Amino acid sequence: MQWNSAGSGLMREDLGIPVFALSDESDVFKVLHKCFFKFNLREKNETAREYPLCAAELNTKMYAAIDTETCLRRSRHFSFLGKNELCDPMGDKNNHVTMLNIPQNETRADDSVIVVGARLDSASLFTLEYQASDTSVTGFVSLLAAMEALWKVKDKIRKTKNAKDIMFAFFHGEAYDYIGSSSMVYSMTQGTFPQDLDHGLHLHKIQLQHIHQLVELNQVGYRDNEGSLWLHTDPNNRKTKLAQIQKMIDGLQDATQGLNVTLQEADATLPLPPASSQRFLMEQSDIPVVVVTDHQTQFTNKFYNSRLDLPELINATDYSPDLSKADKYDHVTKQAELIAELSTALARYLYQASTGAAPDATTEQTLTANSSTVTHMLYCFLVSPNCELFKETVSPVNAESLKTTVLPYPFYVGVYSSQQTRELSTLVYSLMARFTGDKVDLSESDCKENENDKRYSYLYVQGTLKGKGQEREGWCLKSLVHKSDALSPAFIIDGYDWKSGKYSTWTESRWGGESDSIRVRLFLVPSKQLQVSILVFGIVVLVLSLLIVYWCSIHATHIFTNRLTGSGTQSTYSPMF
Amino acid sequence: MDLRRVKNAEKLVMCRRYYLAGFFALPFLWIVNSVWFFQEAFRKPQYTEQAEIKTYVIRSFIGSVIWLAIVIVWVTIFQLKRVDWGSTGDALLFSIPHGSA
Repeated sequence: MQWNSAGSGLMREDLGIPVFALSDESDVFKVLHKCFFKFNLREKNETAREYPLCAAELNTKMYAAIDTETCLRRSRHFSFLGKNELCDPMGDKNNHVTMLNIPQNETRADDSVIVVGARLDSASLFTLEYQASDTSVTGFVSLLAAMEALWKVKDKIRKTKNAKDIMFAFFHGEAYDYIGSSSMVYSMTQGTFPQDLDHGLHLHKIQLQHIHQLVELNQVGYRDNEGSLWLHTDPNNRKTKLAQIQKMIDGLQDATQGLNVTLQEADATLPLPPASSQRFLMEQSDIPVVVVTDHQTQFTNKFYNSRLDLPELINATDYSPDLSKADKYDHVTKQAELIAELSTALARYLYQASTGAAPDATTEQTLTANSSTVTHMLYCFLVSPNCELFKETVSPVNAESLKTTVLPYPFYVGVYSSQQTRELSTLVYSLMARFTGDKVDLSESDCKENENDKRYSYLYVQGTLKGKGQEREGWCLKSLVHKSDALSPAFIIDGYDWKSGKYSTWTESRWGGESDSIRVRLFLVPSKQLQVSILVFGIVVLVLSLLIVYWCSIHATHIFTNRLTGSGTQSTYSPMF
Repeated sequence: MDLRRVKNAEKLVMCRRYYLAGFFALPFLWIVNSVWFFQEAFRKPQYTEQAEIKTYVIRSFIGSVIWLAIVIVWVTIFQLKRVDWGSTGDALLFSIPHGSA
């Protein structure tokens, strides 16, 4: 089954030349008007333009060699010149939060965790150029909005006896062969998820047998004509878990009652579309899985992983032309409304799936996603990160870098670092803390992880503005939100067989240093005759000067006689004295 | 050192030393020997030690040619096959050049 026939696979093509994307209009103007049109563009009947012609020199030095196996081996090669790092594994951090905080003296029962997941990233050739409106943003924003709604009734769920736990998971690096999900599944099998701790107060382990069901949100922005979303299942999975899967589908469809969202069951013979769930099924095939997406067969999104996956195309920026920046931020777009409806349905479904009972009327009302939050999130992730929601939700340190940011943060996962987290993942983490955490009365310096109780994470964010001033309230958010490594197990397992194809082995090359870093130069090339005559002239000058020097050195005695004989002992030139 | 100022007996000692030392995987000594003493061995008017010096010079020359041949063959093979040898090829390198080669 080919899911994305509009895709050309250009990204995996080795072009053999550097490629630059110019997004600054003035750069494009220079290339076109000062270079191409002026010097290179041929008139209708012209066969070739006269010299000089305009040329460009593109420079993007990358060090990587051959394949990941070779380049990592060579990076480890040690000589007296020091380490010569060529490439780094890709990856970042996954984020997750659980509804229940199971007491230490209890154990987590099998089949007791409902996992809801979405991916964070998309692939990109030009880091800052790529939006991922439908590829990932619609999915994870829907999930965040559902989370916000669901946590409004957290006390009810937590008080319900035998309520199933709900875990929201956001996978990073999925565009590069499921880095995030395979990493999470691997640590589940190793018993190191969510924390590799065995002493002190820590979160209960979640392993694959604990997962009761898995609901994944994929692309949900391009709904087809009937405005319907599709529920996909895996044919092999249906063989063993048909009853549970049918229950999930019925539950999800029931949850849409009274809402402006339709969930249709996709053809049961279709395979599961590309999704993070695949990684869970690969390891444990009997977890009931449903993937929610906007296409039944072919992707309705023609711009999957593309530069053109723009918010304009999914009605996420349908502003009337006279709106100010602040009004744009608050304007509830069409897409935001659609997503809010989906999030509401998902929240209601999760409530029922967890507690086993349908929400009563007031609870159902509470379980409504906030379309204004949704539109804010879409605006902040896709239009401008320099927005009120992000300002409120980042730490004071990150607020500084946010101030100077104009373009949306990249959706490219980049290379893994144990110390640093990408903006995208950090922001989703912060939003999760905001939607699920409790504000506790701690100062900024005290708002940090408790050494003895690792179950809770603490995050200090700026909060809302105090009155009308510039000062912000400052919130310390205590939550069960945690991040975990999104690093392919291929780089963790000792002696992993690189050719096995089991796990993602993507690495990104190191880039050239200062002298040969990314650079474009435009210049004029003179004709061949002019080039040759300049060279010949240079050679003539060289030969002439040699002849003159030779002549001078032969006749040196004549030319310099007086000086040399006159100065006696100092006649020998000695630079040391 | 200027050979013109050295006595013939000393020349022989030196030439023999270079020749023998070359056996310790030091082909450069043989090359130096065959060049340095070439005049002494073939161009100078006859003297007592000349015959022996001549032998050493010739042997040094043959030795250096064999060495050169070995080195050229090895370098050619290594440069052509280094990448195919994978980790062995890398391990034999001191400083690995950038790029796919």
